[in-house]
Amino acid sequence: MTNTQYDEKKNTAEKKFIEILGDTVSGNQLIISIILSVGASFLGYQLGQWIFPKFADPQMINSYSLLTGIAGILIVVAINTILFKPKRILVEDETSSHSLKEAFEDLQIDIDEEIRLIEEDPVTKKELENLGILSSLQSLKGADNK
Amino acid sequence: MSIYLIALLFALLGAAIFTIIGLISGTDETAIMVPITLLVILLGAPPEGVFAFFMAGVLSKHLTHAVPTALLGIPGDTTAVPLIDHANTLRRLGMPHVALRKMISGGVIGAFIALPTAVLLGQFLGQFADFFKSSSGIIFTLAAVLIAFFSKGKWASILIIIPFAFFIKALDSVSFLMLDKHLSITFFLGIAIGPMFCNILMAASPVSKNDLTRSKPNEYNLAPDTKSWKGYFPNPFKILSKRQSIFTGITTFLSSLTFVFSPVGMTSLMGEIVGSRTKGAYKKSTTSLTVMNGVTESTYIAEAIIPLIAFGIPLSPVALGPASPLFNAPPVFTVEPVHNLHTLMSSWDFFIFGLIGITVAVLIAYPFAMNYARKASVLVLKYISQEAIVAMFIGLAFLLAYNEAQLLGVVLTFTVATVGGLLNRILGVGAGVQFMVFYASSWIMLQLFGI
Repeated sequence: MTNTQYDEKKNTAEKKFIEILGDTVSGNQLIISIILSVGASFLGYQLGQWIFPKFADPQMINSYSLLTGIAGILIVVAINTILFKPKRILVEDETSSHSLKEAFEDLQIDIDEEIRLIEEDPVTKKELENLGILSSLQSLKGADNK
Repeated sequence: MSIYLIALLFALLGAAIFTIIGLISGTDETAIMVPITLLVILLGAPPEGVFAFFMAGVLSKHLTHAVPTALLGIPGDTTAVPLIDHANTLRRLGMPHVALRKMISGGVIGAFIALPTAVLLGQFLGQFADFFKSSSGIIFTLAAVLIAFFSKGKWASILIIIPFAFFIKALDSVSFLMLDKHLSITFFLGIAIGPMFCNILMAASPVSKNDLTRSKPNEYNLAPDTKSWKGYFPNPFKILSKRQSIFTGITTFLSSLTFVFSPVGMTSLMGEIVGSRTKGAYKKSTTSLTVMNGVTESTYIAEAIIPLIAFGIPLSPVALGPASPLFNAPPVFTVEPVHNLHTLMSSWDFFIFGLIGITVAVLIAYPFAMNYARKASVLVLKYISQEAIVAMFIGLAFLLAYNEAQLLGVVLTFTVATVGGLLNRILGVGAGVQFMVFYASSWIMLQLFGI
């Protein structure tokens, strides 16, 4: 029953990642991204300060310069996204009735009790039936007693 | 162009931006809402437009941050933390899509209940507004002590109130000396991006670097999804059972009235109360998730709206964090004297433009999250790098600080971010406490030193 195959992930050793705000990044790439982003916002803002006084309402110059600053940042976001790929591993799970049984065990839920409670409540039963989950649950009935 | 049309356009903009941002998991609420809302205000949007933008943004973000919470098992942001256990139960049982649908349907109901409730309560509390405004100094100080005690840092947060107030006042005096005007955007931008900046500093120091170093990238387990209804726009009342709808209705109404507590606290409390009355793992998880997400939404909306209508000064955790620009964004909005949405809009305006905001959010984010949750998270995880996101927010903070006070603004923001961020990350002194102390600092220093 337990011959689940685990693909040994090749540990891309020596490569160091840094966790910022809950996600892993490469330190050097982060520094470059920040420099680019700050630089672009500064240049964008200064460009606005230089261009807009020529034709815009003096009250609006700072606001318009903010816009050119943001434009700069957004361009850099696009560049950063192309230059630096995410450092994440995406694993797509699949659920089979085997792993469902395992999940119930891990969560320490009594399967028979759970099914009984679901079957007693017509609303929940109907809901799970519509989702197509009820039958795979019922197939687990009595699995604990084996 | 009529003001309704303008508000509608801003709501559309808010919903579009935050529907995407919500998908990026782990993002800090305050760090994201503050700079973007500030931008909209400083760019000269009318108050009604700002409010519709904010409401649409908040609701859209909460609807789509349910996607990483349910499908990946990582909280979309801090307000989603209490939901993670129940979401994980359903994810393990192979039903993350059920968790997602229940959550966001609860959120939609919560939003529509909270808006009228909060407007009415705000209107009612408005009669005490003069008292609150005239004694705001002492109220901010007492609130700072209270919020500090309930923050993660507990006694540490209380102990740093006076030193941190001194720090703020000292920076304020120096910058006043140089510019002859008081700065505030730079201060709260610093507090908002503190935790992010602190991480970057820690990574740059060999001493603290080890805590943050990982030998391999983070792994995300994405659960499979199956669509089980026809059409594009599912009816939230059909996704929920009658019992769930009723529970959500009651709890979101109650939590709309408790605007001084933290949304995370109310969410845990209400989830616990309803969950303990529900039997069976499936029913318990789905019902708790529905109620909890509804409560998060309603507390959030109420905490932003009630102080806006009643007082015009930020007297709730949300008003001090994500919604703070609605109160204070000089030169457009100010707290002293009160010149912000409180004075510029009537209660009726709050209701109408709030309704425009949340309706637009529901029309855009709700069907999007229902139909494209999985595809969208794959896209974000595969193509959008964290480097680009962090760099974007640092760039935005730089831009706004530079706009307020050029180089001085930038230095000030990153000084506050350094101190505030380290206090936050190491001692658990949350951003809410720091914002409160920021507002209380003048009064505290006046009492202590007469300045």
